[in-house]
Amino acid sequence: MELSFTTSAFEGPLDLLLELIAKAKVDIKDIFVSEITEQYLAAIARMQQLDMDLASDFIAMAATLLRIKSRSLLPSYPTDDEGEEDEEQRLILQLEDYQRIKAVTGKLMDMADYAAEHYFYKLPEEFAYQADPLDLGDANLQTLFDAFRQLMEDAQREQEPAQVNVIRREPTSVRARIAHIREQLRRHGRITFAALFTAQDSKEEIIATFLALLEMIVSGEADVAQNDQFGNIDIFVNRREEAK
Amino acid sequence: MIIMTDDNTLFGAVEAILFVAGEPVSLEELAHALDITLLETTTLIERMRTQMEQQGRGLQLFCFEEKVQLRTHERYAAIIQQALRPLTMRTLGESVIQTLSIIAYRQPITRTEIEQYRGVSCDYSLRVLRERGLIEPKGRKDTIGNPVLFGTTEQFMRYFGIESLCDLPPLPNEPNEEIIV
Repeated sequence: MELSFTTSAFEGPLDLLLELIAKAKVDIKDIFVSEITEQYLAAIARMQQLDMDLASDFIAMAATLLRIKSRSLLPSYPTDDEGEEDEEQRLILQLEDYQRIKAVTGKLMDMADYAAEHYFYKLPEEFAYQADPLDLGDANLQTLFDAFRQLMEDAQREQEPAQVNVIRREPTSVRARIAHIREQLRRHGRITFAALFTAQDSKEEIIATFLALLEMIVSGEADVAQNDQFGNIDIFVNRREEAK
Repeated sequence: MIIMTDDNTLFGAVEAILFVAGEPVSLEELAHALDITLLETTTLIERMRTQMEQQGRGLQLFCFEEKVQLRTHERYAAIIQQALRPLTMRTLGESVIQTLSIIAYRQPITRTEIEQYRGVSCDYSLRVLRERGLIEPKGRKDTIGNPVLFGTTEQFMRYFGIESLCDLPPLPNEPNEEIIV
């Protein structure tokens, strides 16, 4: 006989036994003359195969069933009869009780559902205001993953300016620019301010050049002159320096 | 002392008392406050229930174990949920309800006795039920180890909406003990 059931649904050995009894359509009282014991053993063997952490209750029940069964196969001795009968009767009663309880459980659950439609005086935990549920639209695992990845990329980008802030050795030293200006002045005698810079100059280079110029003016090496407002600034070698 | 003669004044008084109390109020307390007999109170509450039902009121009287409490009518459950969004308690699982029904039908009962019925351990169920206030210790059994006896609570009545334990669905195939010869 093929048995099919969901193993996880069993509350315990009694539950499983009742299921088997219902499937076999036998009366609870007849369970020891039926093949329920064999079916029970087969069922728990299958549960073990499914890698279920088989509760000891199931195994204990299997032992009880086997003990009752084996006694029934042996010729009965009058002295043993009572204990055997007791164990059998106890199990049958237990099953009947459990079946009754199971039968009302569904009704009770329905009653609880109906009763939950009635509210009593305001209970703080019952009436906490909740925000409107978030509408996730048609979000799925992929969109969630994309959103997360975007977030991580953004976070990375935000960290980048921090790396720029690391003070690096200036690529163009003011000293090198001074040497450059000095070279230009020696070659041309007089240069315009604009000629010191090229379009390719980076911000750092412009600053370095400008600092270099200021440095040369302070030290008196170079001099500047502007003939009219916003006009060209000429840079030339300081005459006193030259005289030296 | 306010003399209340007509039903409407009495209804108003009961409603006011129950509103302020929030909790269930015993019929005896009501009778005392209204200065009427217990029997008069019982019939008054009955008339009041009928009238509230007929008028389609938002509130109704919930009576259990000789006590009365105000509760909302099931007709307005959806509108309450929409307006106030009450946190719905997680419903109890089948195994927990099973344990609870064993206690309800066989109380007072010890843990060991419950476990005999179900054939499995009931630690989890008992903990959940006590947390929800559906069961409580009702004393100790006079036997070895003096185990705690469990029974159902007022909250149990509210949870299932029953007015007494007699309102529980009868257990099938059980010999009726209440047959009057």
